Amino acid sequence: MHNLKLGFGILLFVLFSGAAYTSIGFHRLAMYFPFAVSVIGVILSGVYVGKLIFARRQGQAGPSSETAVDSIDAVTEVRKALPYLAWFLGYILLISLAGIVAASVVFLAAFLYREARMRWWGVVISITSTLVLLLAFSRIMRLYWPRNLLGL
Amino acid sequence: MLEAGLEALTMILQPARMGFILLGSVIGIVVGILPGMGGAVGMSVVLPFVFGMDPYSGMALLMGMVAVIHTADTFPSVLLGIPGSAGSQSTIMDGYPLAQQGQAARALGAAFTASLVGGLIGAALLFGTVSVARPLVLALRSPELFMLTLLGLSMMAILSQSSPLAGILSGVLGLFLGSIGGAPAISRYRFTFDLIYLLDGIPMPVLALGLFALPEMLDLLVRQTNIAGQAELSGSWVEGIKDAIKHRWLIVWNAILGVLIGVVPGLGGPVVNWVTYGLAARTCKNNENFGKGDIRGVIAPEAANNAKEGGALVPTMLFGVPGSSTTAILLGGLILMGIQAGPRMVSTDLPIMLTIIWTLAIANVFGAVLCLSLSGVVSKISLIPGKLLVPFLFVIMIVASYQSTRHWGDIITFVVIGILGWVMKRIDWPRAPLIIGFVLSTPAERYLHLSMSRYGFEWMKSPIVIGIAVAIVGILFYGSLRGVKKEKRDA
Repeated sequence: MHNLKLGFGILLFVLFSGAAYTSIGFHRLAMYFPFAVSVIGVILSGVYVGKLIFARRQGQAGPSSETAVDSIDAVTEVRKALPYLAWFLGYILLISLAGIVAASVVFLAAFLYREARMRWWGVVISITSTLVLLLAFSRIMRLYWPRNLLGL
Repeated sequence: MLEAGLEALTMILQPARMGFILLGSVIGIVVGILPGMGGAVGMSVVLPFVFGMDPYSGMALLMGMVAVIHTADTFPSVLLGIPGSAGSQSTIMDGYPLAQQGQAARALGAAFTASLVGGLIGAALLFGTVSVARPLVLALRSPELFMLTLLGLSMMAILSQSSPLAGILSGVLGLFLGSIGGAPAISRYRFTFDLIYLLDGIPMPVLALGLFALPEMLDLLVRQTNIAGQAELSGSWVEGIKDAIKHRWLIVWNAILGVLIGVVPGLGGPVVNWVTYGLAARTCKNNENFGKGDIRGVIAPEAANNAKEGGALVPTMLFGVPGSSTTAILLGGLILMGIQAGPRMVSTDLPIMLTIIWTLAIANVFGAVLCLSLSGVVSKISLIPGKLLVPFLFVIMIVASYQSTRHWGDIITFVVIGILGWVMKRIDWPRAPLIIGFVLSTPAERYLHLSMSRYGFEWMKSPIVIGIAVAIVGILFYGSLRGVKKEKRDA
């Protein structure tokens, strides 16, 4: 957890620093608000990172192992979540290639069969009903579907 | 006025018009249940049908739908931790933890009762103030509006009590993200990196979906459980109704607040939602469970967001100034039926105005009854294992996020913000301040610029500005004082 917090704090520090620098180049009326916000962000994220580094140094000097345990938990959770993120990103990539209907069929079938261990007939029923509902809603509510690379 | 009100009631009670209210309510429920859709989508569905209808029936259909969206949008907020619409974001804060404790039906029961009463209070206040609201709205100039955005921003501090530095930093990040796109003071673009998608800034529904939906979906998969975290549900919607009755004054107070903020054009649903939630979290007694599943955290914003619809109709109908995309399309609907919004709504077109008020009240009753009758069944969603629920939700989320600008940027932003939200959740950073900062970024900049360019520093001497400033300091001070007292008591 501690490393994740530190990494996120540093990321914000870099983001706000970049934003403050970029906003200097804007027209005066467009500059003052993002510049002020970014400078506040730089100061606060600096304080945040500083506090974390200070806490880590104190923790190293002392016997507390809480940070280490938290760190292991965070790494485990991130590791567990990564495959699912990969599923999501794969689905999005598939939409861009094959369009949402084909991508949804493939994604749902693969996920339900492999991850949820659903039986094949359950998969077929679920996918069919989802597609029917999606089609109905998109028709009635004039929903737009993401286009693929071919513009379909 | 009373006589005219009764006449309007008899007009609206005709079976055909009641049928249109019911139809509008059903459409409103569907739109509310689907995450990421909102009033604008619902309006675009209904609008083509009102062409050629008589104004009373047409308004029954339109208002029937608008009034109910903020009742039904509680379903995804409570059951899935996903904002059903922009006006139900803060309901997640306590509604979703209640669902995780197996008390989804109770949370829904309380929310729908609060929505019903809030909606009725909103309609009643609209009826009572329609002829006197004009000076109130005109009294609000850019300095007062700026102070109201500051009041909203002060909620960032209120909602960050557990980790103040992280919370305020989260709010500052929201303010920064909100500054992406066109500058309100001048026609220049900022942080767009020549991407057409970013010219209008990040769409709020996409940000809200990403920030709340994706982290919850990932956590459900990682934990390999259902939302309720148990095999059976406890608590019923009847218990929720009892909770709402027990906290009746919270409903009344928040409904009034919802109407008052709703009257201010441009502040919109999320502001009402977060301000009322923040105030409830700060001022209620024994508030240590707010954010962990306190039923009052559901009741307060739900009462306010339905009541807000009554307030939002004041500038829309009396001045023709729409406060949101929904009310903007509503104005279009009025024109289709041959009605012009403006001062005539309280003189020659008074019967139509009164019909709208009655429709608002009746649709709230329809919506609450329909949603309450569905809550027992729908709350069982929280028992479905995450691995069965999430893939379908993800497909819906992708389609929903794409509706914002119909650009691939919506989907990419949804995922990027989703990962940001997930990291924030992992490191215990409050996400609510980020969305408050984002929502209020543009109004804060716009009204500050207008105040400074028109009045210099003189605007700070306005009695209303001073009054709101005192209220902000008072709220922050009162909350801190209670926090210190509680700490002393605990020690």
